[in-house]
Amino acid sequence: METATLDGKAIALGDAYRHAAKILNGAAFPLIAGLGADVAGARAAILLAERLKGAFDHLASRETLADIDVKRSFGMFTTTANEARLRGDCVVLIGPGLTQAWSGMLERLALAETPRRGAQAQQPRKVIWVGPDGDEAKAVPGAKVIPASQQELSGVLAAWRARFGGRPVALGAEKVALIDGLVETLRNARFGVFVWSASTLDPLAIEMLQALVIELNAATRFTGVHIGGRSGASGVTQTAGWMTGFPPRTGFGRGYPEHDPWRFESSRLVDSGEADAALWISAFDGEKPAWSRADIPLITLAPAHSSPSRGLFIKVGQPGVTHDAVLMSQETGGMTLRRASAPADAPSVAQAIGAIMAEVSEGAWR
Amino acid sequence: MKPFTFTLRQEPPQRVDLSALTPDRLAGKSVAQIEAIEIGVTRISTKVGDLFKVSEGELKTVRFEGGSSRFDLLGAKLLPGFEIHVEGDVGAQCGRLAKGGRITVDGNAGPHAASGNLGAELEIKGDVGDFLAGPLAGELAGMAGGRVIVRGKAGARAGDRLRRGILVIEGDAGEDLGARVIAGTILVVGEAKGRVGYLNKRGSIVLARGGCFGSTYVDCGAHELTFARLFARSLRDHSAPAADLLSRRLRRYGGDTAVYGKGEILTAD
Amino acid sequence: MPDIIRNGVTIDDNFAEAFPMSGTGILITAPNAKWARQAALTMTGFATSVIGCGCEAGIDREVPPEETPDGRPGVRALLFAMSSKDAEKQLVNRLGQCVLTCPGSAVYSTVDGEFEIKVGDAVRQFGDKWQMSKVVDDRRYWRVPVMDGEFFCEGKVGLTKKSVGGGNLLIMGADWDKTMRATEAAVSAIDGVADAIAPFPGGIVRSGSKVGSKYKGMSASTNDAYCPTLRGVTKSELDADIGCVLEIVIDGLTDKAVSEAMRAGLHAIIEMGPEQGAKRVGAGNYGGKLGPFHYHLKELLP
Repeated sequence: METATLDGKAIALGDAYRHAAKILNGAAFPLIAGLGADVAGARAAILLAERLKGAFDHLASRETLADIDVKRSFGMFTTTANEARLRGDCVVLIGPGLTQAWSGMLERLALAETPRRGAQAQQPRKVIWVGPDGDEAKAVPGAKVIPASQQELSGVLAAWRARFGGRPVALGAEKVALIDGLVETLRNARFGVFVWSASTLDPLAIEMLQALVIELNAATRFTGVHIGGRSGASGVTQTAGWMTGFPPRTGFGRGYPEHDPWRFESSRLVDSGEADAALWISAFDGEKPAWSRADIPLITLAPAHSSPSRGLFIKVGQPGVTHDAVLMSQETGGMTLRRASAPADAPSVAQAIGAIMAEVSEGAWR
Repeated sequence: MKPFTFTLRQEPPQRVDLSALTPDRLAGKSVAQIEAIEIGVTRISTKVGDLFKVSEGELKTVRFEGGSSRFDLLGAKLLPGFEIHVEGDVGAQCGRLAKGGRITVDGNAGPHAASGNLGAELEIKGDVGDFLAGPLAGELAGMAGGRVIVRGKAGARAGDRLRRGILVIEGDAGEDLGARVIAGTILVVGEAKGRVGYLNKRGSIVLARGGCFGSTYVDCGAHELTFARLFARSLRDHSAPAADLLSRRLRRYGGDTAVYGKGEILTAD
Repeated sequence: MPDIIRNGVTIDDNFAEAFPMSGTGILITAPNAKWARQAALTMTGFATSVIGCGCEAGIDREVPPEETPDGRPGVRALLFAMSSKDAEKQLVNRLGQCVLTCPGSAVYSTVDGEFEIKVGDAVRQFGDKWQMSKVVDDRRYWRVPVMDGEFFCEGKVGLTKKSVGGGNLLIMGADWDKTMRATEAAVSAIDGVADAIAPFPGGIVRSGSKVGSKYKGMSASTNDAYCPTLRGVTKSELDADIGCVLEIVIDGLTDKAVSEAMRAGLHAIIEMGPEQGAKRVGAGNYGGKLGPFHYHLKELLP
């Protein structure tokens, strides 16, 4: 497998870096997108975006921003998965595909075990799963399953909150009684935890859920565990936060960071023609860009197997697989070093971008 | 007296920030000074003179001959007593944080039109993008005053966190109309798709067509409402279809009961 | 004082002495004119004199549906008091007890004054947090749920301290019927003047008063100089041909409204003439030293 290709044909790595720098340097408004990288890769990519007065976006920004929007315009109670495992006496899983969004979820939350700390230590843990995917909930023995389609989730949460507040809902007596029973379970929890993923819960539903958490906290203790987006989304978001003050979908066109989830959304930037060159980074799994336009100069940093036939491709290693990587850990809710599981000598994203940056003429645009 | 006019020479290759081109901010500047105002938002400089032919006129009204979906922040922070008219489209955040005055757009407007509006009157003859009158990312409240009339259709999340003022959408409204509304009034003469009024606190959402609003909106019956008559009179000259809608007997759905149950969706009975 | 005669009616060369007041008013609408009028009548009841009622109030005019903000029939009621605080207290009380309670009613500000009374703030709380606020054309309104639907009430009502109270006409005639005929004609003419009311029953007071009393603690007592039955035994202002005296007291939002109302009343009396109506018209004052507004009858003549 070649380490770099141009329109599918092998080129020398040094030439690839120089060519990448030339493309980005020549663009009016270059885009650094995908951003599937570890913390070091994200740092390098955001620095490059700043140097180029371009914009950066992450491939899972929609999900990340769904949570962030609630956090920054409403507020959010969260805890770590570890805390939920240790103390949660009532765990409510919301929506389908949670085990897909976080493959280690069931192992980490240990739902079948009793909580070890807190008022309900050693008491059986109540587990409720609303709207799981097919057989998903079978992996949690004893879980009470409330069937609901993904579209119905927001309405279910609204009805819970209405009944928790003692307000009426336009439902039959039987359904109201069921909801009231469920709400009573929530009220009686001593350390309740909602678990959700923004990949299946929209920002308004998350706001509804968090509003319910606030109201529950007047009566007991309740909190949430949100499952972060794919391709290192949480770590990249943290990195963007400490570097620019903003999450991804931030641009440096005017020399200072401006955050605008609409303006700097990568597909819109490319399809509108406003971005006239793109650096696509997807080091975890080689996910492809979602935009439809194929005529702008494109540089791809991805693992070997995902070499595109078009544009410039530079092979990079996988964070935590081919090289050690600092990543946001869903398990602990903090940054952790993940040792390489199969060390290899492909450059990391940070190294590849460092090499491109070395070729970018400093100050050309200042 | 003829208005101060900007005539578009060519479609800009990048977005431009037109917030500097409101009457109060142009006052006291020569044509040469105005032509030198930087409106670009990328590392490629774009000046007013690169994009527009500037012809002086009375600075009560600013007129744009030719628009573009890349004209962002047009009429931002407009002050009472001034007017801006656009023969064409505008981009994002048209009329953002306007304190008063009047903005008319002959074409379409992008997302976040009338965002944070404090008292201006906006009339968009075409369609508008998402988040009409809504807050920007991270802001706590949406439009706080003024009147917005959209003759065409609106995108998703129109009226998000509306606090005060009136929104009229004569065409259809996209998903999640009137979500998180704090107060104020939204009227849709066309169809409202999907969820309506999710997390509505005390706002009034008036729809020409009924529908199912989920279990947290509760039917409170059809009524003659005096406030609707006053509203109809006030709106008659600005939107006859909206005034007609308000003149009908209205069915009141109280909600969102998930919040306080003190808002409402009113539908023509 | 040389008398002036117009159309056979003697006009005293005298003046009405009036005082500054705080004036406010509301437009009440209802599904029909009957209930708009009922609300206004109830609200302006027991409001003849500031001395005993706390305020003076009356109906200014009926407002046709085309002119009201909600397109329903309306009645404009005005209220006057000696201080803005009194006016506010009286308006808020009367609004709450008489208009909020009246079926179908809605309330709008109808006075553009230098001050504002926050009537909505007081009344909205009746809604027990179910009330909703609406701002239309920069004016705030409250929707308060009540048993016949919603009570719709503007949040603020204007108040002016430039109002005038105490304009008056003393109508003197041969007997009760003739004097009343002339006085009713004058009241109906005054009804047609905007911004002015006659707060007494049907606009008319028969117990005109003077300052002071023979009893301790009474600040006013019967105006014996104008009582026909005391003509011989007191220092009377009445000649032998006068058998009845009625008075119209006028409050207005402005100085001009009061003089226009007095002028309209005077003209109606003169037009009727002494055969059908009054023989003589006078005006009450306190020597001109107490009130800053003086309305000389001779200046109001046709």
